[in-house]
Amino acid sequence: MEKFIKKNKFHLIVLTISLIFFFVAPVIEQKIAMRHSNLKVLSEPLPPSASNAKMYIDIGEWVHSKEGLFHIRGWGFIILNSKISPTDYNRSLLLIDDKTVYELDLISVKRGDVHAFFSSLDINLEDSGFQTSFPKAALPKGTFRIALKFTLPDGSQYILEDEHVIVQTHNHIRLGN
Amino acid sequence: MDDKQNTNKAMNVVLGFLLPSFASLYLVVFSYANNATIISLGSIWNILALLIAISISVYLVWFFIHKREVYAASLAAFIFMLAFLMYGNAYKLLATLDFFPVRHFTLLPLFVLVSFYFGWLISKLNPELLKKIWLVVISILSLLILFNLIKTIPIEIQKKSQFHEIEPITINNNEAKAPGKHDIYWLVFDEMAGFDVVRDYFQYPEIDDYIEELESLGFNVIEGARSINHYTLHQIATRLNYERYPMDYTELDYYPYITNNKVMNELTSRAYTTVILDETRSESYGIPAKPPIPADIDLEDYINVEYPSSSFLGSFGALVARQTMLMPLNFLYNPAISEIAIHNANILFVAHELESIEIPSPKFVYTHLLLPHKPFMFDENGEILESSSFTNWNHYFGQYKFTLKVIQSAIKTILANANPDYPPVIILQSDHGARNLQDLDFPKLENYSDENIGSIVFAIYAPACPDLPLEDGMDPINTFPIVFNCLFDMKIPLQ
Repeated sequence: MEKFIKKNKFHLIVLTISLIFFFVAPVIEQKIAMRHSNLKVLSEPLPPSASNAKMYIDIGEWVHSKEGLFHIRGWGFIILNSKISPTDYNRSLLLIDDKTVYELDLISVKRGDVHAFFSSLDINLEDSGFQTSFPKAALPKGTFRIALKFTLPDGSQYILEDEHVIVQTHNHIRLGN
Repeated sequence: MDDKQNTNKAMNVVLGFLLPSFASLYLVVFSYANNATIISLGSIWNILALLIAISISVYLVWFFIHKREVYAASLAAFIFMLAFLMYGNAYKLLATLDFFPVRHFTLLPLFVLVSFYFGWLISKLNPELLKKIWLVVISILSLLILFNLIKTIPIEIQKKSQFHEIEPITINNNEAKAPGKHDIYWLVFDEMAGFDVVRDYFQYPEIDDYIEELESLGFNVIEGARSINHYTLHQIATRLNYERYPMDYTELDYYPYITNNKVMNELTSRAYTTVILDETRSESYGIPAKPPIPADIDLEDYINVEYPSSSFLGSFGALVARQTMLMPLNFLYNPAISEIAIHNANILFVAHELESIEIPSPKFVYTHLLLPHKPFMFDENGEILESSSFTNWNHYFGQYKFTLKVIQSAIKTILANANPDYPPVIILQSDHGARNLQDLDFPKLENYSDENIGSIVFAIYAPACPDLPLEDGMDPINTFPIVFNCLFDMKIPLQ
């Protein structure tokens, strides 16, 4: 055995390095992708749940392109006595697992259908839609609950969790329930 | 003596090419044999030439590494080509199993390295043994290639004879019947789910407004109509001949029933001009080996498309290339670009320009669009999506909503140009519903029942036939019998 190892030392080193590269490179890829992505780790504790808010994730899908982005589209708003519309406060998306909370900035999207559907609330919900995306490679393996974080003009914060989760496996990412 | 030795050496070097080249040939022939009924023979040459060029290059590299030992170089090149040709499937399998992260930048070097090691180790074997192994391997490969070639021969003969058999339909004057008066439009939208599925599964209550609009135009909307299977060729053959064919036929068996069908023969005998636009022959998304349906006018000749030159490999070549180490370069040989331009032009033509060509009436216009069938390239407003979405079922319903708009527009165009004395008959149908087929990169629609697959769209506009025996859930096999019984007073029994 010792003789074999001595005789084939070079080849064994090459094979070992290759195997290490095979298993470790994706982990490094994830760390690098995370560092360069728009996913921010939220260090503060989660804000309290909003007592009166609504949200829905319409689409969560991976686009099989060079960037490999995972796109999320949906709508969400908080209902307050002041009747303020989504343009009056800030919304961000949270991806929550047991250890970490990631935060994503959102782009507002016009949603006339949501405004029409909730017309009885008497709130301007034209801009209640949102969309965002992040590189699939940046998110570690795990199941992430999705929540909207509302930051109101007075600085107070609330979250609302959606019924969907994002499931990231070794090779696939999908929106699940 | 020297000349003879040189000739022998050269022969040996050439012999060495054979083994890695046969490995490439086997993959191409095997893939072709499994798809011969739906693709044409001409599609194999480019990918075959590319793979053989790669095989020869690999062999030459090994030939110099192994110091011109023909059998060692040939076997080493064969081992590399095995890894090369199996890479794509290995990647897909490992990614599907999902036991560990699989990336091209890690798996590909590993494949190359391992095959290099095996190729290097093989030179350690006795030259006589190498020759024996070479002979055994090439014999097995030859047999496998021969077996697959033999498998394709009857299919090729049948295909060739079907293409030769197609002749324009000529009508014996003695058999000519009273000419028809009403134009007939049969607009088929592939994979379009029935309105019940749209309402219940896709949760789109607005479909009822759409149905109301169709009815206000004079359409009879048949709800709950179903195709007994989800096989386009079977469905089209059945409806064009009002005859139920066995469902276990191969593609080749259905072709003659479509190219020479009762419906078009009947209409030709009644002086109809036959007009066709058949996307089911699409290179990338359809069945390119399907013979064209003979018609007086093929609308493809009138549709101008400006598109980039088509891919060097074509759709079959891309199918084979994706099984190999060429898989990561998919974006270079994706054949869809030209296909997409043609598809887009066909859809726009049906939506807006169906009446732009002067065609003498009576006419029978049969258009079969692969819509909302894959590629899922349109959002609900007709904006073209990124090509990465084309196989993602999440975009099916957006494309479906766009299809509804295409239908609206086509109907508007037809009715605006209709002869009020002889209003047309317009049949809107799908061949089958949404099949929700598995795709490697994207999940299927969730909680989608197989029951939904058979649900089809079926609506008829026939002001000349106010008493059509229509009922919800009716079998689409009766589509043309009910129209012909009314327009031509035929007595085709309904099924």
